[in-house]
Amino acid sequence: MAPGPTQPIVIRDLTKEFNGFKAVDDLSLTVERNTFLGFLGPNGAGKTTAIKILTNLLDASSGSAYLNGIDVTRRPKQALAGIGAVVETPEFYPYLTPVQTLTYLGRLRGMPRQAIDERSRELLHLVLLTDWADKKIGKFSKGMKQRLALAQALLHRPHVLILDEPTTGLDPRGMVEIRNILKELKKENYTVFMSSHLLNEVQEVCDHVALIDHGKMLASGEVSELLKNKGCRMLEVRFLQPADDAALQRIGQLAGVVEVERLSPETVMVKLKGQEEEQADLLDAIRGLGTKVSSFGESGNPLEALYMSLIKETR
Amino acid sequence: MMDGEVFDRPPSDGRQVMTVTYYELYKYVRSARMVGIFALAALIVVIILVIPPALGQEYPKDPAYFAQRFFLWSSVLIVVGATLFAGDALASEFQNRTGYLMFPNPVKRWVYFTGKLLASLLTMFFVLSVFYVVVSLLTIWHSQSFSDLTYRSFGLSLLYSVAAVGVGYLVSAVMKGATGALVFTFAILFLIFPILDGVLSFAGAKPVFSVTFAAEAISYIMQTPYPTDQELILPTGGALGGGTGESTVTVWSYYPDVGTAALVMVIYAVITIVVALVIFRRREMAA
Repeated sequence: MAPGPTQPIVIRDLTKEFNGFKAVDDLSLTVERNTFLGFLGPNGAGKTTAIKILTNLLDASSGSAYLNGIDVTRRPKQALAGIGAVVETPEFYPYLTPVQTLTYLGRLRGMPRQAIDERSRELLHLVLLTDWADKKIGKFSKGMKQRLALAQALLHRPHVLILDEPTTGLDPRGMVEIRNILKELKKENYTVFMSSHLLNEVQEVCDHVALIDHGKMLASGEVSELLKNKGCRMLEVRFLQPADDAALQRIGQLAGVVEVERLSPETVMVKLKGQEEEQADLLDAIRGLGTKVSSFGESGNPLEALYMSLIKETR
Repeated sequence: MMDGEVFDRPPSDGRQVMTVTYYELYKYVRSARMVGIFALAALIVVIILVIPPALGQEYPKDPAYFAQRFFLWSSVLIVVGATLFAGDALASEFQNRTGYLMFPNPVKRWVYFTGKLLASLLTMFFVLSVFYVVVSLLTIWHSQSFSDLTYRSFGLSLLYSVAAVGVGYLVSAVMKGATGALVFTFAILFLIFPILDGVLSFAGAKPVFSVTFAAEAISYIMQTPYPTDQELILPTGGALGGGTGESTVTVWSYYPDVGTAALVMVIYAVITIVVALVIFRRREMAA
């Protein structure tokens, strides 16, 4: 049965084989309306393959992929009509200008001339390409092309965006520019399905994540829920004095502690099984050992810790 | 950004074909390739106009024979045109990664294919039309008359250009690299098929099935009467040559039958275009 209007992207039992190798293996995923979902996984996990099937660049070996309730593997024209996509780093026709490119794509989508003109102006302003609107794309940098790619994806005002690593290969400034555009989109009524390697970026802009590896789904859901439910957290503990081996050994024997690793003479990383409550208990327990703690808190990006723990389990 | 009409109803396939054709034509019209093909056409005309008088030869007064000197080069123009305007038409979308921009749009693959094909054919027809008009004007200037056979030659040229573009599209649909597709299209039509024609003729087999052999009708059609196949038996040596004078060699001169030539061109056009379309529709952006 086709999914309803509250689920603009639905992947069911999707499999893609390349000469016997399963790049996507029985993958199922639903993206609810108005969510911003980060699609995560290591290189070769199958993220781009899944996105390419969703955008009609690859055929599925089996399974189905619905966009706005229409199976893209069977009726691609209708399914793709209501979405905007940026897959990999697309290249543009070098002899066209951004305005000409948007006009071409707008005409293919059936937009009237006036709407194309108005929308092109608006989007080129959004992606900071107004000054380049009538320059040939052949001389554009990768960052400029990526911003233009985002503009073409938004041209027809789709409610659903599919973005495949939109900041890959960009310099820090380009990444910030793209991320700022994504944040703007987040404020509006978009459903965004975005693959990325950059966990900070995902944590910053996505409210949902799906993690895959070896083509299989590892976990999916709201970021806050997943973080709450993850089994372990990495804590960085900094002591006032250098901690000796005996102290580390005692910490390792405290309740819930899975692993202790020295980062510097004064700093250790503690892998703790548990949540906020267990974290508070651990702080008390460490203080109870008679060592003075100068700082105590979750280490790095919590999403990164979750990602690493899930990926590690599948290796 | 979301305020305003959502455009999620793409136009008909036919309208999309016209849009793709328009932008492909725009690409060709502005390209150095267009300049190149017209430079080649101009070179052919100038060489044929300049060299015979320079060597003390007179042009034939008959308008058909005068025009034939130019139409001998029509097939070269078509092969170069097919290479430039068809050889990489499909492969470039994959190699240059423009497919990542175009294919996620609500446009069927056959629509892209048809739009591109129409643009290639229209470009070829335009180039050939200009060539034939220029040659016809030169013929009228030289002979004060015009041969109706020119229309038939032009018709065969158009037909051959469709077949040659079909070959280009087939190569382009199969090959990964755009440059390789260009080179291979040119090699097939300019080297491989003509060599095969020559070898078969030498062996006494008429290469009826060959599209490049069929293309020879473009110029032969200007001759009246139309030439017929000939078998010449020549002695290989005589008393002066040190031989006995008894051994001979047979040389065949084959001329394509006009109807068969047209049919061969149509068959090549249909088969290559259909196979290219099937391959292009199934081809994935995997890399």
